Amino acid sequence: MNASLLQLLLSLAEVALMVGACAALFGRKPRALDRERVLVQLARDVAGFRAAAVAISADGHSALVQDGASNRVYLVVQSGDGMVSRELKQSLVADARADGDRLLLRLRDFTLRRVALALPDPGAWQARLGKLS
Amino acid sequence: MSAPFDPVTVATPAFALLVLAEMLFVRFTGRGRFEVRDTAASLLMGLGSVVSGLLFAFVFVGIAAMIAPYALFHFGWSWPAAAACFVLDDLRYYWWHRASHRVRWLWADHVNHHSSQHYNLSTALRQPWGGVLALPSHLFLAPLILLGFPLAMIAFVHGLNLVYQFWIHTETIGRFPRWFEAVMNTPSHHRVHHAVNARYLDANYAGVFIVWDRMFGTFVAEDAHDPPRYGIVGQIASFNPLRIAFHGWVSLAHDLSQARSPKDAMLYLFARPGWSPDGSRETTDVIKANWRLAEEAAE
Repeated sequence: MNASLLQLLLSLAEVALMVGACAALFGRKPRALDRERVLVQLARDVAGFRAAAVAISADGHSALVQDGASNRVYLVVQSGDGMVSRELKQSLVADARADGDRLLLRLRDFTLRRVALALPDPGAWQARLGKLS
Repeated sequence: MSAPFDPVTVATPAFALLVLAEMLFVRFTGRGRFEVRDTAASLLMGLGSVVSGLLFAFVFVGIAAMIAPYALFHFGWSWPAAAACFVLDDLRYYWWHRASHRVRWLWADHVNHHSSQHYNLSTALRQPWGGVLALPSHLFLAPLILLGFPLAMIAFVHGLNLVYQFWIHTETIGRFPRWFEAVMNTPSHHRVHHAVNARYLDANYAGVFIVWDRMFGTFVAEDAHDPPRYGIVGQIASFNPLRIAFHGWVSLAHDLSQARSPKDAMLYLFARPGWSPDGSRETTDVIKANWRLAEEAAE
């Protein structure tokens, strides 16, 4: 076997060993999003943020929040044990569609392309997103 | 004469053992954080970076070989020359690193190293794959070659520099004695560098010697009242190494495709990350200015 290929395979095995150790030591299911965590995250990410409306997806993986001062809408998604937020601008949202009890978002974002939120009133959020600047 | 050894290759088994040791320490003390998918992504980014480095080494060697004939002096291999080369390479690293945060073209590559929301030894291994595309960064090779240091010596001392930087990616170490913190880059100083808190943005670019930041006005001390939060201003939502490796490049390519003039295209490439023609995005300068205003208003 080619020496370089062997070295690559050994390195992959080493990575697998370390990931396995990490899973054994830290492999807990991340805590679902709640209102407080989402608002703390947005207060950190957005200067002067003041929540007006908050909707957490039933699966606890994502949330939509409207800022009272600017009327801007923010998406917060769980990413591992952390969170990622995005201001939903017209230039970012390729499509926002209510489908039953879900709001389906398609974003122009290489690392966050699709988000499905199970919300009590997805139609109202679709309407809000229709007014984005 | 060739380099005595490749420091990074020699240190790699120690890197793996230290990552495992840090995991155990964090698990039993709670000082620090690990997340499985984040760690896997960082480790695979490290492996991919080694592979891409080997695949494209000929580009760097080719550029270096083109510059070498114009060297002003010719230092042979000696330990005093290697020591001088180490210090000057660290100065070179400071300016390359500072440019990598302030020039979008270079940030498109370097952003990968900062893309984790965690800060542990595996984060040190989260290295970019597209260095060959960050063309302006190759210019930073030139001064040491033009001064006349052998290419193998430059590669050797740079390897030592990278090995030093591994251990400072940790939350498990607090602070060292004042004299050490004054001269050397430490976990505390480098936590600041990886933080997204407004007060910490664009600070502590040092590799080994923090004195460069103190000299050039980019030093910020870690503040116990404002614990670092890690990652990048627009955090990424993926643990897929391919998406991590190329998200900065895809974003830059998209902006270039939307540029309405050659001037806009040049500014997308060379202006600060976050620059946009209509000012609708925020650079780190804007974020820091807004934060200072909010702090002053609160006082």
